[in-house]
Amino acid sequence: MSIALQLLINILIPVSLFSLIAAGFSVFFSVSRVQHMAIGASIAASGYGLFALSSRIGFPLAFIGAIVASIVVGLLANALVYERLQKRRWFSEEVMLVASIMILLLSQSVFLFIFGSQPKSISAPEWMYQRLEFATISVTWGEIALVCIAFAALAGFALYLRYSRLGVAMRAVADNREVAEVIGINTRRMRYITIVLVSCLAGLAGALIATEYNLEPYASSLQAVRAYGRTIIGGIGSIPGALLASVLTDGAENIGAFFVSSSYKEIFSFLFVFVFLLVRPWGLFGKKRD
Amino acid sequence: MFNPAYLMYLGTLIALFAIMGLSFNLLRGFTGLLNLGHTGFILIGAYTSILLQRNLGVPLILAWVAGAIAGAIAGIVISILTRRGKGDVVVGVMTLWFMIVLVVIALSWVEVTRGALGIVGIPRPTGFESPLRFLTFSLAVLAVVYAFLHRVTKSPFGRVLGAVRDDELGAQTLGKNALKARMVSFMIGGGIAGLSGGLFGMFFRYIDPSSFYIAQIVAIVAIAYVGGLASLPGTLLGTVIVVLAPEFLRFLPFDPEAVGAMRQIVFSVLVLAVLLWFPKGVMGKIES
Repeated sequence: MSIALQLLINILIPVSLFSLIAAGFSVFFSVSRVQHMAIGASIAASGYGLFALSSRIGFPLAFIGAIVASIVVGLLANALVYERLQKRRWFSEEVMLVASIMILLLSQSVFLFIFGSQPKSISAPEWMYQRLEFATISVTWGEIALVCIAFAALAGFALYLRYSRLGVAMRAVADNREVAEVIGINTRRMRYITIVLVSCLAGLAGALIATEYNLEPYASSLQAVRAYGRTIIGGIGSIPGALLASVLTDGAENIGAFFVSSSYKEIFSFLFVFVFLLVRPWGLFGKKRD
Repeated sequence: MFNPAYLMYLGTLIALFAIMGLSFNLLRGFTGLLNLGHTGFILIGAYTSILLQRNLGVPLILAWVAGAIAGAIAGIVISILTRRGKGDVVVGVMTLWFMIVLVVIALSWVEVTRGALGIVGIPRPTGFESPLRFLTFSLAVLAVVYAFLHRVTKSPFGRVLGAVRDDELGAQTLGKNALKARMVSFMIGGGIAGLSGGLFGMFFRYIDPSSFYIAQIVAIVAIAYVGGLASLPGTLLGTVIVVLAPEFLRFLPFDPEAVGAMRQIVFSVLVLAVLLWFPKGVMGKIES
């Protein structure tokens, strides 16, 4: 029983973080039809930003700086690449995908160049490392804070999308871009607002990931790929879908790792995505597109 | 700088990547199929070839050809799995995931593939071990592949591929079997990629799963897009550009570790430039 509880705690951490990223990817995809693989660049910018700044201006300010860095990367990606490509004659979703992957790789290489290939660790404030042990499970205050912050952000995002004016507008654009334009929504502005929101969440997740785990230069492509996979499973544009997809894949991975050798667990989650692509590409909560 | 060993290394690298680029271009430039998982076919060819030699004692050339056949079969499988989408991103996404699954399998199935450790000591064909001989061998393979693809793309079938690329529904209206065309294209592209995989193993004498991952597909994409889609000579030119451009960085005073990262930067910037401003690359017949 205690093992199950510990497992649950262990699953909550990746689920909270990755569903945040996946939700952001998913919503931006639905609003702008761009597969924002470069979200990995935002995450990396946030992590490396935190690393670079925390020794200089202290952890809390560095944390905010990291999120800002993430937003800047997202804005640059949108302004310099995505919006420009939208206007080109040869524009297509495929071109956007390739472009986004290129941005992701560009950022990965730049950070590799600047910071080197060794994993970096970030020292968080002392209180985060104190362990709390009760009911036979062991967890640090930092991990509790992480899970709470991440889920709060996710919930906030979902509520915003559902109830705020901008959220409704975003969903309108996601539903049908042309009609949204006709009724007066500035879709270009919506895309920019969405990328800022999504990058903010990705930055938050990135900073938390960098604190909880080590900062690795090749992790950004993995994050982007994971986010994409969860979006496929959960459904494009669906935040609950992203959450459920994360629960399923991270849950399966961790439980699987417990029972079988951990080297095989990765295969299951990726095969899972592939199966979804084959039989139900609109995911669990997405809409069928013709 | 003009050390013969270095030049031969570059020459063989160009030959190898030209073959990979040509097979990718057949799929993307000529048939309109964005095979982001192209390195997956290369992986299949590389691993099949060496594992057959090592575990079953199959002679080198036979194993190498078997690798190509394995790649071709994988191509057929993928063409069936992606039969719904085309100019849709669906092909790009599905092939990308296909490659990821393959890499993860290669990493995890340690008993067979030795996982992240990779496989060392891959042999070259007898009589072709020296750098010069292997360079000649690779160039010969390139010449054969190029001639073959030239015949295919200039043939009536090649025009069918172009029709499927430009307007699949239109082509079908005129009675062309689009599914069969895509299947054959994937089969040939996958087969040549598998062939290049075996060659890759022979060249570096070592393979591991990370050699076939996302970063490597970037180089191939760069070759095809920069050189020009739907252009075979363009692909050759693209290979020369993409392989040589980062080599100049070697001579700048950068830390050797950084060269790898700089190479990636060059590739990604090149492709972005093509996507934003030069949709035909250098010699492309169609736009991105």
